[in-house]
Amino acid sequence: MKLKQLLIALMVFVGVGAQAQQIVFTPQWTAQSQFAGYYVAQEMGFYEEAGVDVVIEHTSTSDFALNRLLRGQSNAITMLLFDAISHISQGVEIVNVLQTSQRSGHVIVVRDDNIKKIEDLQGLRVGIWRSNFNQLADLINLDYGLNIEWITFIQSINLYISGAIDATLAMTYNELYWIRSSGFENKRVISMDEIGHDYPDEGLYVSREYCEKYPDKARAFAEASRRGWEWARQNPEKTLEIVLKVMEREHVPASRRHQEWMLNEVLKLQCPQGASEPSFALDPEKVDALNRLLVRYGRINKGLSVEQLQGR
Amino acid sequence: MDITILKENGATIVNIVGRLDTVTSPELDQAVKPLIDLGATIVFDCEQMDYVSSSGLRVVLSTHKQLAAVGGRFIVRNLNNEVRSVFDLTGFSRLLTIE
Amino acid sequence: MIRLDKIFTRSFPLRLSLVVLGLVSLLSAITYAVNARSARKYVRHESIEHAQSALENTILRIDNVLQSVEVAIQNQSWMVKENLKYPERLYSITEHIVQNNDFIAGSAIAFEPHYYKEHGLFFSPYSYREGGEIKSKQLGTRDYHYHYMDWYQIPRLLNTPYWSEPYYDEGGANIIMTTYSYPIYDQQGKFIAIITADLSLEWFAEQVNSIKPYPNAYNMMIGRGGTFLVHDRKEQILNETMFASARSNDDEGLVAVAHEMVGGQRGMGEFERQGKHFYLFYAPVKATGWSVAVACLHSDIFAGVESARKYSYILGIIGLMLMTFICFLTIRRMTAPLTLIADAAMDIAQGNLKTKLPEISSHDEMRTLHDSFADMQQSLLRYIDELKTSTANKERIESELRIARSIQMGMVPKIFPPFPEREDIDLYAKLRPAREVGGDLYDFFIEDEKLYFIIGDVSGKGVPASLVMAVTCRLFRTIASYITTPEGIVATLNEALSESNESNMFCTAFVGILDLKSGELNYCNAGHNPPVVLLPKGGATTLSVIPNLALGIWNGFAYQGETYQMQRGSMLFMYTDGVTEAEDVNKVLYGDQRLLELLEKQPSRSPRIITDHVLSDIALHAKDAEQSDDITILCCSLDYLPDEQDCRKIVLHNRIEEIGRMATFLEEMGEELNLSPEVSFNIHLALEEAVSNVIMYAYPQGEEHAFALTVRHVDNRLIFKIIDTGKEFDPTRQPDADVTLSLEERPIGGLGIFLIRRIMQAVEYRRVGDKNILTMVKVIEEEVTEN
Repeated sequence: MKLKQLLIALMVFVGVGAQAQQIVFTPQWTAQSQFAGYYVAQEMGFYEEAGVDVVIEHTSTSDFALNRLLRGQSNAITMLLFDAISHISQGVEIVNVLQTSQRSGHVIVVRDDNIKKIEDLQGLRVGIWRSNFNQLADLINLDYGLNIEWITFIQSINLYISGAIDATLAMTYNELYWIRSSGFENKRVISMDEIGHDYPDEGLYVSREYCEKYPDKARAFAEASRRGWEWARQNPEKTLEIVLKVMEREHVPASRRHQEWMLNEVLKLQCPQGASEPSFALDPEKVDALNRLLVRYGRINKGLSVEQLQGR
Repeated sequence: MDITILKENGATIVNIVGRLDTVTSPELDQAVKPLIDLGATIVFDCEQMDYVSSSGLRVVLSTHKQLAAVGGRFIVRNLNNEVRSVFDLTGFSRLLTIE
Repeated sequence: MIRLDKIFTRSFPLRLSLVVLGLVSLLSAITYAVNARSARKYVRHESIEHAQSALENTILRIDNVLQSVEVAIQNQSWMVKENLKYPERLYSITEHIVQNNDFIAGSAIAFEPHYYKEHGLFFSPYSYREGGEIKSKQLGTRDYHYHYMDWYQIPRLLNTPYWSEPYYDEGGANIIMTTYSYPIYDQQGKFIAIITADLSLEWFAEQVNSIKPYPNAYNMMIGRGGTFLVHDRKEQILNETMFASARSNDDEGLVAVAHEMVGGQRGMGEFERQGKHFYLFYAPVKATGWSVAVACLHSDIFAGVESARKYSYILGIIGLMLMTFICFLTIRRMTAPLTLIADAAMDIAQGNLKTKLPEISSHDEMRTLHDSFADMQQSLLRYIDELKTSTANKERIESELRIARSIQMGMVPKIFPPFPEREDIDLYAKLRPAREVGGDLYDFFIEDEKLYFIIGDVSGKGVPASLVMAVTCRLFRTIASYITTPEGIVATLNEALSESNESNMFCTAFVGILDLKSGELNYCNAGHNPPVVLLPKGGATTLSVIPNLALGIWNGFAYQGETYQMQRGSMLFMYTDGVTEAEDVNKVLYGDQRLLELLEKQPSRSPRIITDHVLSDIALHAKDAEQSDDITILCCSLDYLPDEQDCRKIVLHNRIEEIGRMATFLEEMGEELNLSPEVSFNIHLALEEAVSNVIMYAYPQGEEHAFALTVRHVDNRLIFKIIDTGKEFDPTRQPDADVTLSLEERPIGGLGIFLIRRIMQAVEYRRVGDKNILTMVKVIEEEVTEN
């Protein structure tokens, strides 16, 4: 009896231990090509090969990935660089293990044709997501002194279509695609680059606790993820199939064309400006620029260095 | 008519004296026959020939043809005016070598 | 194929039938095309109406339902306002709404954040159907932040009621829902809540899908952004927009239609999908801003038209073929007579002139053709008969003419020389009629040492002239036998001809009597062209004559005679105007001048030679021109009597040696005559040739014969005559040697006669009896005084 209990305890321990080593990865949003590299790493067995046990659990439409991490439900998430700097400054214990995005995929799509430049958004209603980017959008608002009335939307662009807003924030790989597919082909698009706020977006973050406990695993996880992304770049067709399979599993309605577009865009955004290859690295200049913006508007006291972001 | 045959510078000279007519032509013909030889040169000297008729002309023509056949040379010389005019009239002047 | 071609060109009925076919086909085609167009237009119109009405009906039903929902909610909003103070009561309102409306699957009243302080951020009573029961709960949770939901936010921002874009129900049962939101404001007009009704799109989808105006029609409904709400292919629903779909097919037209649809328009468009042609009818659902469309297969719409078209094609073709066939048979029957007539004509053409033409019963063009043919046949027969007769006549006339000619020729002396035994006179004459018989005449005879002669020309030519000529000829002989003066003869002739001259023919004539002893010529001219006298020493002159009058015109005319003394050695050349009026192709006359010049130059005094020369010259002039008038020449020469003047003679034997004797003879003559050595030489040459010929060829081998050579000196001429009795041999017949030939080509012989001709001025050969007479004339210069 004691042996049994011991065995069970051992198993539980091992299980727990195993479980403790497991990476529960929650991407920022529901399953889509945006996270193709990770799906590839999973499906193609790169994580397995790297000796990492990875489980991908997606968030719901009204919850944040960060919340799950804070709650302990996940230990790896994706996050915008801007948000990461803010959060880490404020003490959130996460570490950047892989910087996938090098350029901003955010744009402002205009609905009212009288809006020609950013300044014309003065006092107008602009659609914004509930999660990510809120902060940055706000800072841009302040920077240009626009007094924008932000109208939050969850997922669809019905707000835009119905005409309840004058412009909307959009991802080039999501909302922009849908807007263009809904008959609004020729609307003015204001890019981040145009208004001088082209910062890298997504990166892969792991909880500090995990990194300190299992640094090798964390590294392996990052490398396998990178491998997944590189494979995706080389094999876009197959990658698309993988993504669609995952989406079906997750009961997420998928438009093939949309996912194809998204994959293409995301891979594009992984290359620095003027380059045709991804760097997977944190650009110190960009980090500096973000630091300055955040400090200027009092969101943080002091900027973070690349090393600090990477937990070194 | 009289015929004298001489040799002069490798050529045979036939002197015709008198009338070369129907009567006397055969005689000339006979005299000339043996003279026809390979490459021979025969000269009719007509200085003393008073008269020639068509029979005589026939002999002249025949001599010419025979000599031509063996590659010989035939010359007629010293024709008097009347005889010359007969040669002219009949076109013989153009055919023969006349000196 | 070639055969077909032949059949086509050979058959009139077929050609005509095909022409008719062509015309009818063309007309049919045009009519059909016009009809077809309007039929199509009509069908199109009708089908559009049909499809659109089906569409409208459905939309009407949809609208009704939507409207009923709207009304229900709007009514309840009032209730809500009344019960704001009692939030718990609001549940009954939502329950009530769901209960009373079968379409409504759920209803909620969602309040602004913290409206009810006690309830916090969210307060939204919500009732819904589940498994036949109506349940209620709170809608808003941490997971469901309803304030950000489209159904809440959009009507709030727009301040209008709002039908949401369809979405998948949270329940995950793949049910598509739409929510009607109605904003509620408080007394102050401030926005406080949204009251909603959820509808399942299922019923709407059913409605849309029930629109089936045509068998292959399919339907769709799109939302405000073009998103498919109802579609054949389930995976498109809420996943794809019409814009994206159209663009992926590169169908700009369909994109435009999508714009129209989301713009709330109704209408019709067309597109291609998988090679099939579709019509798209669309209409808006005004309440929600959606648009319903039904796509119909083009072939379905026009199916009726298509099949009708097929039928009409087949029917048309059968009809046309039948028509052509009947046409062909009918025409063939009607034109059958043509073939019969053609056959008959062919028969006639082959020579069966009496072939019977087929009977034609009709009285139309066929009949006319038949009658014309019959007439032609008769004419042909008649014509051929006439032709036979006239040909026979012509042949008869021609043979008679030939006989007449020989009779006519028999009337004039034809044998030359006429008096060979006489040396003092020689005559030659030639009569060439222009046609078979002519009007020219001549005659002569000697009586009592007098030569009587006549030359005449009857006016005209041919048979009429020849008859008068015959009369005149005979009359001359008769009259001249008893009247001895030329004028007498002429006058009597005139009398005879003037009598019974109903056809007014007349005859010119020249009559002469030449005394052969004295050389005196008495003559009388009757309108005839005067003769030419050739003088002994050369030269010629026209005899002067009194013209008088032609015979047969004036009976009793006083004809005057004349006299002329002819010298020995001269000639009288008489001719008719056919000579001087001989034409060439350009109608240029031979002329008196030319005749005179020619005669002047003649050295010969041989009538035959002179006559031949003149005739040759005339031929030279006339060349290919047809002889326009009768040509007659009568030439006589008055020669020296024998033993007169200078005459030398030597008799030679046919031995070659005799040439020497002749040579001597000639030498002596030359000395006596003071001839130049050249002339002597030449004479010698010529004579030797002539004499050699006689010696060598005239007599048979071995026989000894004698022959004569005479020389007569007359004026400036020496006349040599060689008379032998050998076989007939004309040395003048031998062709001249060609002195232009080269030595090789030159034949040995032929030089002889060539030399003779060159030396002598005239060479003439005559066979008289058994004698060859060769005459050679040499003209020598006049002696210059003494030697």
